[in-house]
Amino acid sequence: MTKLYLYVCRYLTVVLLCGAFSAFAQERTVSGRVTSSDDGSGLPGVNVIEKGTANGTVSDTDGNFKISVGANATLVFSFVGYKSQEVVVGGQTTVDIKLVSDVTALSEVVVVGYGTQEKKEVTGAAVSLKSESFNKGNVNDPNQLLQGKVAGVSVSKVGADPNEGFTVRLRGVTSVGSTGPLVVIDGVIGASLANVDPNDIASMDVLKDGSAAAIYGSRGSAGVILVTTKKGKAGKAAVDFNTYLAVDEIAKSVPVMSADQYVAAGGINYGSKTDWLKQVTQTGITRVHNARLSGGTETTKYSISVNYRNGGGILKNSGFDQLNARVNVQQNAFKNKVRASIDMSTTTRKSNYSFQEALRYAMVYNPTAPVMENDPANNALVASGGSPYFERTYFDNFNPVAIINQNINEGTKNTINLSGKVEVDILPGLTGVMSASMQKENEQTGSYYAKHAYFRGSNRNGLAYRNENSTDFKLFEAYGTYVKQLGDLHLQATAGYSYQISSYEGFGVQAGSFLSDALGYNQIAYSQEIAQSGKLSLNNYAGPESKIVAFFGRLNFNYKDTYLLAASLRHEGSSRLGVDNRYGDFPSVSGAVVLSNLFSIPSVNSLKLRVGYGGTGALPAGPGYSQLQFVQSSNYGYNGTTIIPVATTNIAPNPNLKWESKTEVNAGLDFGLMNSKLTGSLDVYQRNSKDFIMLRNVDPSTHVAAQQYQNLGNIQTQGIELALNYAAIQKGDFTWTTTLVGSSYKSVLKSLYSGIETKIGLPELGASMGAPGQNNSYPISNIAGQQVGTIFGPVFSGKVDSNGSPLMIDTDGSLKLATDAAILSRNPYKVLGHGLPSFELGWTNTFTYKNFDFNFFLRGSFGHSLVNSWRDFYENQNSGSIKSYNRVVTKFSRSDIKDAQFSSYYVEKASFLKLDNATIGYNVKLGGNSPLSKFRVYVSGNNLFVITSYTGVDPEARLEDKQSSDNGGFTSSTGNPLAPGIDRRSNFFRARTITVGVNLTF
Amino acid sequence: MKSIKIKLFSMLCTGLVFASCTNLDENLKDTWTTKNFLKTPEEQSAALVGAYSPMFSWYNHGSYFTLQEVSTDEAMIPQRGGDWYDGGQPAGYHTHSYTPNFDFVSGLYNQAFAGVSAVNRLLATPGFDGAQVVAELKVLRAYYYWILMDNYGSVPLSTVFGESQGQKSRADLYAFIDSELTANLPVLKQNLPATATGTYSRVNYYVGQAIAAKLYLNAKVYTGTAQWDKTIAACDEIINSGLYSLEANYASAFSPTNNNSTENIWVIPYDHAYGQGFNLDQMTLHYGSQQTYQLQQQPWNGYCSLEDFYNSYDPSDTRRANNFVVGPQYAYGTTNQIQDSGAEPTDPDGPGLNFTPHVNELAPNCLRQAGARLGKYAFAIGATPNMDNDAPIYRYADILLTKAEALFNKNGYTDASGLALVNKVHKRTGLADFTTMDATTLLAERGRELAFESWRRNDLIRFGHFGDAWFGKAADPDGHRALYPIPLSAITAAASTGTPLTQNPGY
Repeated sequence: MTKLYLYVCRYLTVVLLCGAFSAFAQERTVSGRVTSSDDGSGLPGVNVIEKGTANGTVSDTDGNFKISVGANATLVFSFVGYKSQEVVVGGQTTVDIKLVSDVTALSEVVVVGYGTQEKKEVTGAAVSLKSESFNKGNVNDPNQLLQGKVAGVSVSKVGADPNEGFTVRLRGVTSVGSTGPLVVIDGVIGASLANVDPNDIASMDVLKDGSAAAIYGSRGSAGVILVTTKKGKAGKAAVDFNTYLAVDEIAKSVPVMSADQYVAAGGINYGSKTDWLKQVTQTGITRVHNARLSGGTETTKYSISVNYRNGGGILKNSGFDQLNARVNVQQNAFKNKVRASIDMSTTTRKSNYSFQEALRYAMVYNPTAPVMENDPANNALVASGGSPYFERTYFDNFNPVAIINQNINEGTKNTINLSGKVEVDILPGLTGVMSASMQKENEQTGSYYAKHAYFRGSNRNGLAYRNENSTDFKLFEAYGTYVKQLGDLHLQATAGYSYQISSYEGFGVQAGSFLSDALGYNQIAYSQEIAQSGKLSLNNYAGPESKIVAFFGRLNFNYKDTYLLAASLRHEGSSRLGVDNRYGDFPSVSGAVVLSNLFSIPSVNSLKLRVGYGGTGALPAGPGYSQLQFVQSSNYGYNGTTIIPVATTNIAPNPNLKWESKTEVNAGLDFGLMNSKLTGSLDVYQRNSKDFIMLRNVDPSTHVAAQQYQNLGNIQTQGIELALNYAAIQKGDFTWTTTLVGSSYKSVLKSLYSGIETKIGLPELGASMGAPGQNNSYPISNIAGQQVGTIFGPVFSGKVDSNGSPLMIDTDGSLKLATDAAILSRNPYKVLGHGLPSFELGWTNTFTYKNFDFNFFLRGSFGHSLVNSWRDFYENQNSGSIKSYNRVVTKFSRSDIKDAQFSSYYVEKASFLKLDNATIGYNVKLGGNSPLSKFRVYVSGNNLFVITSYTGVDPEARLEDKQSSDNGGFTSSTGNPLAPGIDRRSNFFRARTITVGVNLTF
Repeated sequence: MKSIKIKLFSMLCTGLVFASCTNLDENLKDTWTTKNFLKTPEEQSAALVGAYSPMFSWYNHGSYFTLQEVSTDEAMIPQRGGDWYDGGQPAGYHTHSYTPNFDFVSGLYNQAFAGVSAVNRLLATPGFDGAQVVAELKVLRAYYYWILMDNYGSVPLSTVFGESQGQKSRADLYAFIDSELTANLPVLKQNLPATATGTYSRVNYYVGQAIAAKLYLNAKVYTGTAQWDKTIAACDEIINSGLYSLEANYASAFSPTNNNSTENIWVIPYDHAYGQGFNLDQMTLHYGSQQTYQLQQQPWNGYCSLEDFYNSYDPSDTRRANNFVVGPQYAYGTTNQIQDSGAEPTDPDGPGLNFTPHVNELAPNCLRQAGARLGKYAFAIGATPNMDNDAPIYRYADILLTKAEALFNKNGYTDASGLALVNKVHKRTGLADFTTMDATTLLAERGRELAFESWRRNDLIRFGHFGDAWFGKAADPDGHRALYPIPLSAITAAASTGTPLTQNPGY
């Protein structure tokens, strides 16, 4: 009925119009097909527009189009990657056209510091990754979008903890402090990635080398990741809706003995058979919903998005609930001469961390022990009305089910970002930009260990922790850009000023002894210890305003799009450094020649050679290192017989502390071959980082403390990176595109402490294996001349003595116990492996066939080794240890080894290749009247298989070390980048994820 | 040229924006600095007492106590199967296999020097120039140097904050300590304490005399020349003061409430709240002992004594019951023996927790329940890892035995007044008096009386027995182990300063 009505209306209108305007408007229909001049295939999605009007259409999947045009019409055909073409329609009713591919048009825009550049103008090593190329599947962290996609960027996460972030490393180890790249979100330096939903990201640009990053000076040493969020476009309002459901299952856990094997090996038989892992794990279910409304006019554009994520981990109780909202509005005025924009985003995340310790104890807890023990005869706690869980007196071993059921460990984090920016075209070619941003993060965590919880709680008759910390960040920047064309020379200059203030403060309280478990950590005032002295531990802190002032400038020369030159300088000061060394200069210069403009090389469409040099810096991790500080000691003293507080000093101040610095030389080649079907880039680089800000032992006879932050050391990293993109097949309905990125680097510790180059390494910078029984046992050593993350230790001979103690090989080839003075001297120690991979690979393949799309992504790391802590602690057949812990069983297990002693035997090669992701999607055909413009359904799998010889849970490289915890202790929250390569016992296990999702656009 | 450019650039930008935004002063909010601290007498007192702070580490696992006891025939940290291998280090102290990279070797070194530099910093700070304060600090510094000289031999000497005189020989350090005591004790004598605990845990005249007594007692080891008369004179200053006396009951000198003991000349004033760091309950007791003493934390099952040392006590010596925990262990207030699920199948008395003086081996498979535990400092019921017992540094009984030893060495072991002093201390053991004395008996009696008071290494070296063989250890007669190595961390730290350190012989 409606159809008929519309038809009548249209008919009448046409008749009327024809009657009225037939003298000057003769509307008619033109149809035709658009094909590619390369292979004659039809080009879908080509814009066909009647020139000078808003009238237009888009070619269908075969390249066919149909459009009604007026008289004297000219049609404009445009398509990304092809030269636009205009055709005067004249009297034709059929227009078939071949579009010629255009290499230069492929040039995309790359976001660089304080502006954008066309890719062809870029002289540094910068890579732009658009949302189409992002990682797929269940992605909850923006860093994961990049994993394996950019040569030289290592993104790693061990295990499937839904509340654990990714470790990101760009081109090896460049600093001993915070080694993650600087994140810049929509121009805001140092903004939090936690406040950006992966769904809202349009592109991520990585500035890899020093010449590209130098404009960011401080903190640019580890590279820069520029995140651009999705913005509104002029035109009809669009609504995108994406939703998916992901299911996590444990892909691998530690192989341990069954109950029967355990009893046979000498374990105590408590008569049950308990699958502890099953008891503490679950199928993790993640639900994600994302909606975005965007649109606008030529002068006003907007984008509003809301993201909801509810994630469940493989460990019972673990998960999070996150709500994020983002608003971006852009307004132009005075004929677009003034452009203003405002961004707002906020995230609230509630996390339940649960207890990763439960996974560890699930592997080593006695498999014959029952979960519950209600018999008061065996369980004294039950008799006194306490815990009915099975517990025994073991060192560092707790009933894992009790851990997660009795205790609470959760937190809430709120992040707000607000930024505004105004751009003004002051004079022809001169643009001024001012921006101001703020970020507030607030996190509250609480944990409670129940009165009868053998794990942490019972010692204190209930124990509660409550912590709150907040960080505050403000950024003000002003800069100007001047563009001028002088004949064939295109010149661009940028200069500006940046001022940053950041501060933090926090409050924490820990108290025990509660009457009841009912209130958890919510009423710590009821702690009976509050009234007593000595057990109450309060912790609050407030950082100073850490300030950074920077002046920066950049000049870009472009001669005939063939010779390119860029130079920048940042002069930057930080309040955290010594008074006389606060300012540092970070210069860069880089150039490029587009060789393909100078020579015609057969089958080479584009060839550009880039060379760059740049200096960047890194800041101290904390404030106050240059000042003498007094702290109140936890120990008091006597004044006569009166107890008085005591003030002491912990670290020696270093008033000469200066910037950590890095210089880097990069040479690269960008190329396009075979009609640009094959494009790629090759980069080689060498970076020298020096003056690390490290806490080191100093001569205690002349300093107020035995440790001081000093500028020390020199790490040299050399690397090579290759990225290839090949549009292998584009025939008819079928396309196949394949992308390969590979990188290799080596970070060598050239020197650490000047004046001493010890060959046996310095344990003070290493990482200890930990308890039980392997404190003071350091598997990673930092030795001048060796790579960072050198696994260094005694070499196991394969033989044991009569006690079952492993015999190590001494320098003269004789066999000795690890406790022998000759071995203890570390002189016979050998390099047993390297914690950092020597080669990393990512291989993406995308196929489309009609309405189907298929994508798989293989990722690998090669050449690294891991210290397998699980084996080192629990594989040996020590008769006493068997009583306390279940045994790890691998192909290396030997019944004659009775001692847990670190040696070469526990270092394994951990090279791997994994099917990181495979996704298959289907675009549902939509009728002409459908309100939807896109309707895609997909299924995706993450971590589908792993090929590795490593016997542990996850062969992923450990880029840093977070130490171990023992007997209810806590692991460190900050990683040590100088001790990579240890597979600790404190990680979640690996999960395999299946995701089912829908993308809708209205 | 560059600086002009930068200047112009800066001016331009600053003009563009606002001038106040280039101030980079750092104002710390949660810590004291020289800008906001040391202004009041209370703050100055707090800083003064800070010079004593390093001593709180003495009785941690891995500091002074460990180095003085575990390297001797009194105590050890056996490797108990999967526990306490720790890179071979704990057992390595006992077998004299320590090397410059052993962790505890640097711990004591750094803590003692932290004391030295704290004193030097205070002496250079306005407000710390009163005669009594200066003398107290200098004698305290002399004590820290005595620790360094006794354990490491030759170390750098620093008397002015931030300045080092370079590494000095042991004899030079002896002379320095001697001269500091000689110069400053007369000043301290002008302000004598009214009672034994009158300047509790602080350096006073008698503490200084005790430092001197120990310095002179070991003078032959340090310099090659004995100083028996000076030893006797220093002891007499303390004895004749009349402030100190022996407790009637040996145990009361070490109990959780020993802070009033008249036997204490100088202590580390440990407390579960105000003076944390005395962790012996954790270090020595078994995991299951948590139930016996209702401890706040599960102990670590590490340190124990040697069977021969335990047996060196007469069974009726009252000190034996005080100094060790042996036998079956029961849950607090019950007769239920604690069950140790982790007991080895080879443990002859099964899973019931029982501390046997007999230890099967030092490493690798010492039974988890083996060994008499170090019970000298009685464990309070419900204790935290931080015990309340004050740890004596100088105890009156030691001063009496020290004087006796000097008399014997000066006059021969027939010296009657020396024997009387030994018997004065021995009386409360419930045993008969000694009628004769010789070096072997005196060393053994010192061991029994001063067990686990961190004197055993010092005594064994002085009596020439530190290189003997004992349980778990072969003889190491060459003698270089009597000095600990200069820690690797100190060697590396000094290497870049232009005044490198020379390692002790044999390392």
